[in-house]
Amino acid sequence: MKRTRLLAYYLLVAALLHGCGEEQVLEKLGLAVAVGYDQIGDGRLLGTTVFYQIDPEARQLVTVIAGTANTSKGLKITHNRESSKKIVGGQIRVAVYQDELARKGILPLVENLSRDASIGSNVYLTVAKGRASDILTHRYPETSNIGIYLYQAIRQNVNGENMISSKLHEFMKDYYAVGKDPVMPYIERVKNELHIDKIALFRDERLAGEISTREGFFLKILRERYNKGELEINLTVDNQRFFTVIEHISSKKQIKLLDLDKPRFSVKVKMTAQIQEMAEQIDLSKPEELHKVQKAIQLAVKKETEGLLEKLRKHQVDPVGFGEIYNIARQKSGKKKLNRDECREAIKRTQFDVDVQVKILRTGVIG
Amino acid sequence: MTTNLIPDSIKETQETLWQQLRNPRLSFRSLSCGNNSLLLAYLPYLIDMVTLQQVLLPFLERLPDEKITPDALVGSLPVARVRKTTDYRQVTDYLVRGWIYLQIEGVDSGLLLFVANIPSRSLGEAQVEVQIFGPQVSFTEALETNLGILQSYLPTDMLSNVSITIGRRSRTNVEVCYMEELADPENVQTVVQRVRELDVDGLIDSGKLVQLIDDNTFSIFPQLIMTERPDYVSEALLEGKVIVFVEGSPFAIMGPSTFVDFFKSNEDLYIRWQMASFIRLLRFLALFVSLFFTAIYVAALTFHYEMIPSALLVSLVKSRSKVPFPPLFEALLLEMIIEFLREAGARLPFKVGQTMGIVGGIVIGQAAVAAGFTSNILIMIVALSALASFTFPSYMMSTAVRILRFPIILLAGIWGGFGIMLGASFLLIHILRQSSLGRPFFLPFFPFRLRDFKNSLIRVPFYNLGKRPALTRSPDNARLPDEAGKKRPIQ
Repeated sequence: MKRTRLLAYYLLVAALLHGCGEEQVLEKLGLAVAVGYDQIGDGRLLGTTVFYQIDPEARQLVTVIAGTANTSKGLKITHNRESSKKIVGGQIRVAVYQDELARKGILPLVENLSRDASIGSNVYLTVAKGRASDILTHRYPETSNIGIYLYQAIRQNVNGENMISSKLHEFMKDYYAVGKDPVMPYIERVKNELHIDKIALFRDERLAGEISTREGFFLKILRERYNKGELEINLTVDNQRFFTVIEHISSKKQIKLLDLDKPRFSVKVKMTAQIQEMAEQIDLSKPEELHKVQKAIQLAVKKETEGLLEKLRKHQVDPVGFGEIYNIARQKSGKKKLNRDECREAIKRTQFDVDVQVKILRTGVIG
Repeated sequence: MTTNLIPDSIKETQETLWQQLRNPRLSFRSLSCGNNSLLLAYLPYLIDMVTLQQVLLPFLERLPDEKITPDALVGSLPVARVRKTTDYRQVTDYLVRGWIYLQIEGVDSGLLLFVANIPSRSLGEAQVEVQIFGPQVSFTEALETNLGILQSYLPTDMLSNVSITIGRRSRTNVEVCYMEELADPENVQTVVQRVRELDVDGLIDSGKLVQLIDDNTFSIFPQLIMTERPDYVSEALLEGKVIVFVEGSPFAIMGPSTFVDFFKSNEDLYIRWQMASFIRLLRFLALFVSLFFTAIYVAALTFHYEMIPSALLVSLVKSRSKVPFPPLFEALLLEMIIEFLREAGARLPFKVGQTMGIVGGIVIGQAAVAAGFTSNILIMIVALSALASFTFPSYMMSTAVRILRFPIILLAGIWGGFGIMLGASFLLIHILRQSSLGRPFFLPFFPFRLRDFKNSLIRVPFYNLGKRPALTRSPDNARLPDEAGKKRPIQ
């Protein structure tokens, strides 16, 4: 009797709560892969969505639609009006923001993505030179699915250590950490090709400047632990200028605050690498020759790192997170925690002692 | 009581037996040797005619002329088992079991002689629990044969039996076997008591007995293992388990057993421990695949589109786009078809079995996709989960798992991943609550016993299995002379 009643309860619960699960049957959905946001004239947003419209008979896998609204969720409503399938965001891989929009701040848009439970953190955020819709609506002869193409292009470069990763959660973390600023890949369409050769620097949520991917390399070794990857360097050995390529670079950084009152940082970079190619014939099997080359690489890396730090200061951005280190050191010495603006102000005129140590592990063997 | 006494006249006995048995094949043989006239009664199809004609009859004809008594005969009859009786009801009981009744004129008691030749088949290979490696012989329907095989595996006086006859009408012999000193008396007591207290009409197979004596009749999971392999039974006896044989059934019942035991094959002991561990883990993987794979497909397609890897997305939607049903119905339909195929395969006569392959493989598989009836990804998933369920050594368990798949798919269709978790939790709680002969059913995990865990999901080398499982609570735990165990095993 007790059993039967229990069973009846279960069945009742199952029957009554059936409707509570919101059904999203796969083939009835338009799965957005990439979204783009632009600003148009009167403060309105132009949203572009690339989504799967899968039909075995259709030639094109993806469809692009655009619409305008005042908010990002408003864009969703506009988009759904234009589509035969319900557009959902769970498969978004790339979000593209127009640079002009980014200059005014993109936090509300990014937060909206991160608050949506169906969107994971596996979304790359990028800044577009010019309009995002120009990038997403353009028909590229090489690829029919611009969303996945962009995603793979960024991922490939991030995995190959050529680009700084800017996933959704990484942006949010950098933004909310006091004394650190986010960065993003800066993409540009040149005719039928997409170029990802710049890095956008943010001051809090606003686009503040850009650096080249070469400078991005030095930013990356300061921001995080670096493994594999390669670099072409211009060297001067015995008054001879030539190029060399080092690969399998792995580096560790150590940043320490030396002086609290007049902020001064010691930036130590330890790097190991292999020489892959040299434009000049130097017998590297001789220790003294190798030592010379090593010294020259060290000097070149140091110079470029210092150049980068100078540039960051000029833009008043702090993607390395010096402010964070400074703030922690302050609190350790018993002073009050600084807020965003105080922190930025405090490290405005910092000094950097850059010290680079390069060790060449192997020469000659390529692989 | 007085009415059952055997009359002293042969004629009257003959009359009484006729009335009792009402079997036209009941044969009588009257002999007169000297001053004695003897009566033999038997059922010809149950006894060994050769022994009767070539041994027993010549012996009786050569009896001395003077009056003899049954007591004198008992010692000299050329038959292995002789029993004296004064009760004609007992006589009929024994006649139907292949005994010969012998009475001397003028004596109101008779002798029962065991000259049975009960029809049975010869030993064969195991057909249900197939093993590649290890002994191949399987039990047969004859209880005596089964006990013989078992004793040949364990020629020791520690092997003890309890004989019980149950079934009011069927009078079936049931044999409870255990190893003295190894089996916990409490376990033996539980089994014997449960069997003894049964008051049923008839009991033909151990499959019926196991349902009558297990702990929870309402659970879908079997709680006692049934096996047709003597080597498996012998191993179990050495672990301290209790075995039940039923006359007429080639399957022995084995207990106490845990949930994990149903995923063990005895072959795991014959192959090296690395292989055995791998294969066992594979079976547990198969359990999860079989239970949840189709359900996950349904849940992902109905609720959790964001879970699907982007590489799979396009092909998945393409194969789904022509299907007219929602994923839940599609999955249930295909699971049903697979069950139809399986059941038809089990029931079909051997000769038409080939047709099944064609019908199942080509017509249903290919045509269903071509007609836009189901997606080919689902066909693959359903086939995979059916395949996975066939990896379990226990037929009962694999059937249970296949049936459990349906409610879980249903839950997945109603509530998605949440429903699957609900179903899985329900199952887990249910398994945790079960017991087998009063011992915990989910043993190596709850309560956690490292000793049993070593021979559950994995199988460690024998030198590290120095003790009998905690499950059986054996009074004598040591399997190896030394716990640290670098010496030779004793058994």
